[in-house]
Amino acid sequence: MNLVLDLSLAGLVLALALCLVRVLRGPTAHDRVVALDNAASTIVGLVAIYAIRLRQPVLLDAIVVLALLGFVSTVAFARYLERGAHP
Amino acid sequence: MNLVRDVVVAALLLGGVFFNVVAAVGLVRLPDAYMRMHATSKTTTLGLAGVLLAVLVHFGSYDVSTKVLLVILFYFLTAPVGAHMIARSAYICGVDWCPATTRYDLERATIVCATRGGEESARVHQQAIELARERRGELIFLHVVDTTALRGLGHDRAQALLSEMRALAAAILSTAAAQAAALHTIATSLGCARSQPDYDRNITSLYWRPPA
Repeated sequence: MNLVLDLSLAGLVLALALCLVRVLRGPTAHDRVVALDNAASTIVGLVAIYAIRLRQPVLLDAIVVLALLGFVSTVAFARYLERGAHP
Repeated sequence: MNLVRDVVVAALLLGGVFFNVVAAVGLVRLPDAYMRMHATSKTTTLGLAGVLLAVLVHFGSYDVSTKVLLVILFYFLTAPVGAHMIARSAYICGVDWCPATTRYDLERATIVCATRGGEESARVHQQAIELARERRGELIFLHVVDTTALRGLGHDRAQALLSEMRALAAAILSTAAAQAAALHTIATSLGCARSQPDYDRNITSLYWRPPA
């Protein structure tokens, strides 16, 4: 079981690294926002697997907060970039 | 029982992680922001739901199940909203799609900008250019030459004055076109001579007045 969990964690870390590649490469701010949104979702998955790995269901509270933060920041970024188009 | 549970958890986990990795690969490989958005929707639906359902099956207690189902429901509600907002913002900011895209379902606008030249008109041009960029529409600059004043004059004088007016119109329109070209927008120029009263009404209906 631990092997499966470690494998899953490794997979999500790989996904996170690929998101980071897109954040660094751009080319537009919107690509970065999409990548960061995806990274937030991946981190939620990462914490969820960590909760199983450490047998700590308390970590699931962090998931709720992260999910909320991810959504709010995505919407805020989208609005902010739109505002930039119309000063 | 424990073994069955572990197998289910492992299957859900690996499935979820698989979709997460596929989405991340798509995020790097696909050519434009809109297609990348298509890839990342897999993370929040299949990927995250798989991982969180694995957590639910593993712990199985009421408080964990409630939280996990709440998060899944939350993601299913907010992911489309967030994706829509980014896509809308990208479209408004003029983020280009890759040239291979063939289908375009949004309305193309035609913007007609009447111009008289001068500093005040430059501001109007600016707004017309921005509108055309935002809507990805066609931009037409229109300059109307009023020839009713030439009526009482002799033929030769009227012709000479008319050619002067045409030259002025060409200068004004080329200034407007240059302003558009500086912002990477292609504009069509249109001059128009008006002399008949019936014609006037048709022309004035084309005027576009930006909000002050």
